[in-house]
Amino acid sequence: MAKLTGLIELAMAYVVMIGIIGGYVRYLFSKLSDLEARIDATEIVSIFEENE
Amino acid sequence: MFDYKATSFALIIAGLLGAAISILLGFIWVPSLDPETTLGEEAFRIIYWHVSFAWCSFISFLMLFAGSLLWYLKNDEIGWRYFSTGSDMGLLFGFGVITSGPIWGLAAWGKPWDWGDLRLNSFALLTAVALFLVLARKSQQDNDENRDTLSIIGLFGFSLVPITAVATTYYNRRHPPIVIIKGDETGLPNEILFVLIFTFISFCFLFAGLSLLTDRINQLESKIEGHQRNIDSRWPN
Repeated sequence: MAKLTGLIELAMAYVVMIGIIGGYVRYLFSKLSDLEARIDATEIVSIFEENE
Repeated sequence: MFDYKATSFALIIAGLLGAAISILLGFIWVPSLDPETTLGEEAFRIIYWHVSFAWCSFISFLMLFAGSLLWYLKNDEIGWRYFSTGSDMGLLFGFGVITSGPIWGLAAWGKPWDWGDLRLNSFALLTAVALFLVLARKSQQDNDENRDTLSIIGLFGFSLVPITAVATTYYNRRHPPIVIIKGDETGLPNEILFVLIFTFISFCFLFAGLSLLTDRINQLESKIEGHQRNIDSRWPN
């Protein structure tokens, strides 16, 4: 049992750090898609208004 | 045209792959150490990611410092981009350090935090400064006055970096000293040193990919704000 000392903490630390990186990567890619869609929409509105 | 998305995606994948390999190497290749000389028997293997996170956070704070200085002295737009990306990255990697550190501390010292240790507390303060800068940047109006104020706080925050760096040498209480430099009481076995450097290089790829993507997002947000101001200005009051 003594051989396991620290393994649970090690696993916890890795899970937390993987979660932080994974969460941030996911946030960045979803934010990027959202912003690209919004930019396309605002550009369409601008072109539409200029034509009017 | 430079493809931000594809380049950052490739860098992030390369970084994550290297970081995953480093976990395997840390378990399979690096032998277990004498529990008497290590901190936390098996938990010492956190060192690869924990130290790499810490080094990447120092690079982030260096970026934040360069950006703050450039903006404050020259009102340089590139400086503001460095500032924005540096504060985001500083928060990300700093948060990784102050969450993994206490977990390691629990295994090694029997308690997660020591309020008397200068390095732990100065690093926590540094991460708190990054958190403040990120929240302030997102909640305040983006104008020159606010940028000036935030860049001064960024400069103040960076002054904590040398304090944190020398804290383990001069005011060491609980946090281990700088172990990568070989000395009478410090130094690492070659296998651990190799995996640590390999992990750090992998994290540099990850850092570069995340920084590129974060910068791209900050630029797109500014662009959208400009478009929206344009559209709003055409509406009659």
